[in-house]
Amino acid sequence: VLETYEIGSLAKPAWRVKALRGLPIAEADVEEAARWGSSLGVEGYRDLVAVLRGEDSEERRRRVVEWSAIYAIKLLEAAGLDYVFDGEQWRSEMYDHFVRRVKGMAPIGEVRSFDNKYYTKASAIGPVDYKEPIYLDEFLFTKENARRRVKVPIIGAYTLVDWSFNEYYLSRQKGKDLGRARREARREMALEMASKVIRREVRALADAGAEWIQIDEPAAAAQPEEVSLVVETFNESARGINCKFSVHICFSDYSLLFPAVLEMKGCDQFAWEFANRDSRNLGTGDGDRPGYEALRLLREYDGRWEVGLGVADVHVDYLEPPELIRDRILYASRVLSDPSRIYVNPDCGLRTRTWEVAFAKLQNLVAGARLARRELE
Amino acid sequence: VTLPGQGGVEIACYLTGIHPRSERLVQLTRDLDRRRATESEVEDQSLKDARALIERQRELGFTYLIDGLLNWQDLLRPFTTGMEGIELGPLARWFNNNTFYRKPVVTGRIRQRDRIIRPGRELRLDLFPSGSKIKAVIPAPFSFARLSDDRFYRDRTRLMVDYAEILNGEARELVREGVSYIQFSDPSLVYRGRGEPVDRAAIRDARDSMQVATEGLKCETCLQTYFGDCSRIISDLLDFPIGWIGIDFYETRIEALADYAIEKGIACGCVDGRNSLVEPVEQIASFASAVAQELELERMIICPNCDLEFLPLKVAERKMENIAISARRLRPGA
Repeated sequence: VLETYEIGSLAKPAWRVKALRGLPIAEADVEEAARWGSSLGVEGYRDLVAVLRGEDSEERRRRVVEWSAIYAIKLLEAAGLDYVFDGEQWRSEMYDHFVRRVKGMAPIGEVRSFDNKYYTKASAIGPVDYKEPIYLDEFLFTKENARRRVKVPIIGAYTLVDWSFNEYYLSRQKGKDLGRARREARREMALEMASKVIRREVRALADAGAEWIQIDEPAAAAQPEEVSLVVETFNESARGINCKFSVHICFSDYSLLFPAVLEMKGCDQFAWEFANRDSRNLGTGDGDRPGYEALRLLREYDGRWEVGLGVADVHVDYLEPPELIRDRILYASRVLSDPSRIYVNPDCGLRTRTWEVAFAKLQNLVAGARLARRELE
Repeated sequence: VTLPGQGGVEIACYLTGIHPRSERLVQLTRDLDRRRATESEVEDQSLKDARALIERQRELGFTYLIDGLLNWQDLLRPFTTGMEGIELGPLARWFNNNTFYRKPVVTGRIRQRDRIIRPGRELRLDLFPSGSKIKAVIPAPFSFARLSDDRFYRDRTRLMVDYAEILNGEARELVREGVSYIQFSDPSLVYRGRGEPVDRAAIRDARDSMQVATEGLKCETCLQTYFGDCSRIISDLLDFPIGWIGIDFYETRIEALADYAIEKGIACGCVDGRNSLVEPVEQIASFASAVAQELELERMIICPNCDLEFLPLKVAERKMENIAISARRLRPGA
């Protein structure tokens, strides 16, 4: 019980970012690569040092990405996690990496996320369709290099649509009810994204041996009136595919998902963010764990799902002590009355933290799970 | 496209809120965060972009001109950081968009320290050519209160009234400085998500707070609703102390408004600020024409349904052009 994993992303090391952009790599960056290689026990890491000191070329860029993936796998394994991936080192970013490889989608320009933070948003300029496997090589590489079991995170159809513009499908709508036209266009695009793109990607991964696929749907509760569409797209993406599925949703009002998510077929686990909302005080009483209020929804609606319990806040450098993680787990065990359904993970991907902080948080997470396991035994 | 029975229908056009920044300005703000650019470099570019936007609106024949609010980090920010009793809170989702704002956390009685919409800063009054009809955009009391985390008043009505009083002072100053149209942005009044509609008592409070906010204003005033269906509260809105009602027609059906005698002007949000598909002129004109005809309007402004900041600048510029051309086509005698 209480198996541990990371949600997906880790920060990209400076040597990877610079090498991929063809920028000069400072000696300090090379030394950092050597230091992490040595401390994580990465086999042959001196080869990476030689690569980083070499000339820029396509071949060097490819090798640097592979090395950063190996480093991330080793970091997650060294932290003691039961399931690992590659920190999404092959991906530029969860949305952009995928959407650029979908037929019918094109980047339109940058839009604001908040303050001075922007992201490149794509639009459906034609019918969406599958071109070729997007995550397959990354998965096979991870599988080959990991010693622990592998969980593959992939972006979900609904989030892809919610984060994109929709020109093609809207242009086919007629009539002066603009709202209806927009809703119909979104629905059509979302279902095609699920059936024609995500489903084929999921199938390719499962056929290649993926045992656990995590569908990332951070936008699942963004449009409360469309939660049933989130469910439909999940069902379409996972239909008839034989592997474990979890759905990761974060920074949302989870109550908006109910009761629609009861209709999700084949979803084994929900992985939600909790630690971000929680107190840092120890304790397992009701008043001690305000951030874990949403667990009551899972108990109330009892879909027998497993729970990916977010126990580490990914937006702060604060290192949750193992005792705090233990108490969060024990509280969840009590609310759900079944520790065997609980997996332990950070709230979300750790890409905004340094590797030092991410590693320390994950080590504490593993230690906290161990303490909780001992208490429960 | 012509308006049946036209002649008496005034057709205007304007932009509805925060405009997208240019690629250059985006890069500079990013560089500022990484300490690779200075505040003055960002300010220079922001001024340059605001000047270009004003000039473009003028060329296209927009009736009321805005400066694009290019240095506003979100609709509430100048008020969040410009008043005593409020702290800048955590990021929160901006309605159902993949965009976030900083929640105002109300920790004490709100008071005005100094000007909030400072001329030349939050509103670039000096950039408008003389004779321009200048439009200001500010958050309405209801939305401000709903979008805040109130840890002091514990009573939204009191918070709204205090805020409305401050707003009124700001608005009077803006009018004195040459603003001729003030848009009070009020998405919270109509946005529902999956929740219950705003109740009648809350709407009455919203109206009373607008009474305070608009007291003595000698300019055009508009309550711009968006991200929600306006038809559910239209009968109440008709009693609000404002000259114009802004309606998001991507959320509101024309037919749902047809039974009301609308004497106020309607700001017809029929160009989608949240999708990159550029509405053709024919579509905008024929839709606006249908709105004017079916609602038997006397005054109408063609506009985006919400801020255009959800779009890349190039797309926003094409939408602006089509708004202006549509308005020209629909004017009597066109």
